[in-house]
Amino acid sequence: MRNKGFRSFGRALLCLCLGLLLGAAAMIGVSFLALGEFRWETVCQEGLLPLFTGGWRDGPLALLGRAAPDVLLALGISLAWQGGMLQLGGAGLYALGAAAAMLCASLTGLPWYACLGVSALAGGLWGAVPGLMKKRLRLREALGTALTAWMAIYALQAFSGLIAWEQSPMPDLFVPALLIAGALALLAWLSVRFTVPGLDLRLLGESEKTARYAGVDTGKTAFWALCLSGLLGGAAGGLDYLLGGVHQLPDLSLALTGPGLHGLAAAALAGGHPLGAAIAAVAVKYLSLGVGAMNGAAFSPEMGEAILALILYCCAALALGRKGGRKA
Amino acid sequence: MTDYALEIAHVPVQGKEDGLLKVRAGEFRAALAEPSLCALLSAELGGFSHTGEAECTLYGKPFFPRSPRAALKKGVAVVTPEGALAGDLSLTDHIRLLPGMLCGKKKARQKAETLCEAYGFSLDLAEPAGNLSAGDRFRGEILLALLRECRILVLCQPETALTPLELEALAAGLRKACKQGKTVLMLTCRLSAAALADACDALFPEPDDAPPERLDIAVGSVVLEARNLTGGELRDVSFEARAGEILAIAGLPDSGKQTLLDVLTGALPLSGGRLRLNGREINDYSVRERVRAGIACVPGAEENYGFPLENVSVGESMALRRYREPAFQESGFLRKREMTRYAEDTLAWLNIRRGEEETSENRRRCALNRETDGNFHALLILNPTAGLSEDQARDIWNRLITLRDERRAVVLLTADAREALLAGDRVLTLYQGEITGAFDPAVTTEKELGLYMTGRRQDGEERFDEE
Repeated sequence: MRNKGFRSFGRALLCLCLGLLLGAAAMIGVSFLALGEFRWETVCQEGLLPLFTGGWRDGPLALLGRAAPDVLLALGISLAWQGGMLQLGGAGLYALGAAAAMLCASLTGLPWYACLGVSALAGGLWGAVPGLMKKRLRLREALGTALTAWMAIYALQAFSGLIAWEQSPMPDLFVPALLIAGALALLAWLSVRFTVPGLDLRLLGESEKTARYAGVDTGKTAFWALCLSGLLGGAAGGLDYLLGGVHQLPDLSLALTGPGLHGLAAAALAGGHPLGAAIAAVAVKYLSLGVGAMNGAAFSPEMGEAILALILYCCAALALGRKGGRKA
Repeated sequence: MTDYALEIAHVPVQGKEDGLLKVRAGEFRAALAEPSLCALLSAELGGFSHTGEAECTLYGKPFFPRSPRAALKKGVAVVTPEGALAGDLSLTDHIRLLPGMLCGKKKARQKAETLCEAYGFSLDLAEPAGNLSAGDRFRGEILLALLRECRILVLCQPETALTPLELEALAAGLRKACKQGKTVLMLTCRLSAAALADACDALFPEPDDAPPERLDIAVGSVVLEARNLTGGELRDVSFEARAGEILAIAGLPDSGKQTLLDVLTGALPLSGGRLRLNGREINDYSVRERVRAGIACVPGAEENYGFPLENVSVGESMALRRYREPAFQESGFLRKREMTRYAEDTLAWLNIRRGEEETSENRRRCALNRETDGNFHALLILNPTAGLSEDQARDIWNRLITLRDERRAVVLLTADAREALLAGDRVLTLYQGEITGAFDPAVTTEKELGLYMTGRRQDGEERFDEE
């Protein structure tokens, strides 16, 4: 187990390094396609420089603080992953959490931690829906989480006209956000590794038959894992709103599928290891902040996101893929 | 051109440095080998994997198929008990999908029927392959190989899918095929199967067929009593397992053994019937409560023999069904150090070195040790020796016999008629979820048992006459 843990850490770090290298290579290719000629200065100043330095622009504290929501979401997804379940509803939970925090902050004026709690609760309840369907009707969680996310995103968008969206009135929350994310990552890892419910969850991830043989109540374990996963996802959206990351509701589907995908990618890159997922989420956030800073003729942020996904995919192939895919 | 259709040099045989296996064209030859060697050779010849450990020559030319397709192109078809049939498609559909066989259902059926008649197979061609018995699937694959007009047919461990009588009938069919110019190589780890071929090579020292030693101990009270169990594919299954007795339940793959095991351990709910342990009804007990009540279980390959190691450590696997007991947890926290110490002690006792826990034999030994280490009354064990060599199997049988002599009830669920007769004190046969007969191993032959494993049944009065 210890070796496996180190391997997950190693994977996350390896991905970061390889990703940066591959990103540079992809930039060169894209600039050549966009401009029809190869200009080293364009690649450096409009592509590589923002990508490498964009994340650092406001210092490490801001980077880690901004990455905190992504870390929470990645943790939520990795918890479900530990139980062998695919949580595809990250974007929906994120949107729901953000909306809940916004409503709570603007209507009640409660302090930020209460708003965060409300968003976590909203996410947890929404995550319980696919959990309940899986427990009662044995409906696949991948389907359930994806469809509930779909519902949440578009329902919120439909209601957005009725709600006045307000900018987060909260003070600078980078330090608490950072602490919360760090503490939850540690807590998630410790509970998965060292507690009885954690072992239940890992056995469920091994296979349902094995878990049942070991005496695990598989339905209950899956339900609670999806609830917790939803809770963390909701908290992630809430935290992002409170940090000032989410600006308005009508953009939800566009603006928030990003974090959903980032969280899934981070959890997958770490193979579901909570600490690995947290580190991978920071790395992904670093790159996506860099992508956001790209603003030139050759590289639009959309192209940047595409390159980011390419980078992550290549990383996954290099770090996780096994040689000779065909099973002997 | 050599007279040999197939030559395999550098066969990694135990004890010998360089084994050599030669098969003449038109010959029906058997090779008696350890299961691992059977698997290696069939994978090598069939193009499933390439280890380079054996050097194969086909009609004098080197033969290293990179894929199953490449092997078939050269006319070599390998049939393994795991099989390669798609569960949803019938044999007729499979035939229509063969390369160069584009034809309607009717024509495909006719072709298959002609072949079946020629070789004495009786197969249901319209039924989806997933619903066929293991033996029918095996014969179905042979039929497909013959329709592909392969020159060399390699059968890997046919005895695991077929009963002795079925195997004899198959051998007669194959002999006819050999007369028409096919070459057949049968890789087997069973002497009785190898004896059916026209010639045989022993690639390992012949196993001695003497049964393990038995002590005559009076059979005790009923420990596990099942009455009219229904649930899943089980129909009215009744039996009694007594203290100091090994009750063998023999059934081919898909006969309902796995379901029976799940029902007995509590992983699958019963839809009818009564289950009692030491006279107490345990129908409503959960898996955990049954463990506490004294039902130990070592499952089969599907659950990694109850010793999973993918997401859990060795220590946790060693405490798999008991990690909620105070010895291994304290207010919700796992006592990892205790688990590791327990695992290390056990591994040392079983003489398993660190890093060697993952072989299927060691998984079984670890799980068997874990399950029998506490206070239990009945042990359920599924296919304990499938895929093991003779010596390894003997170790496991001896362990079961020791447990029996300690006055435990052992229920041995197995697909192997020989194992049931060698290790069991009483044998029941299971077919399609129904008990078809009860036998005394001292006076029953493998062939006889095979008949009841494939559907023949004793009369109602006869069925429980021993109880």
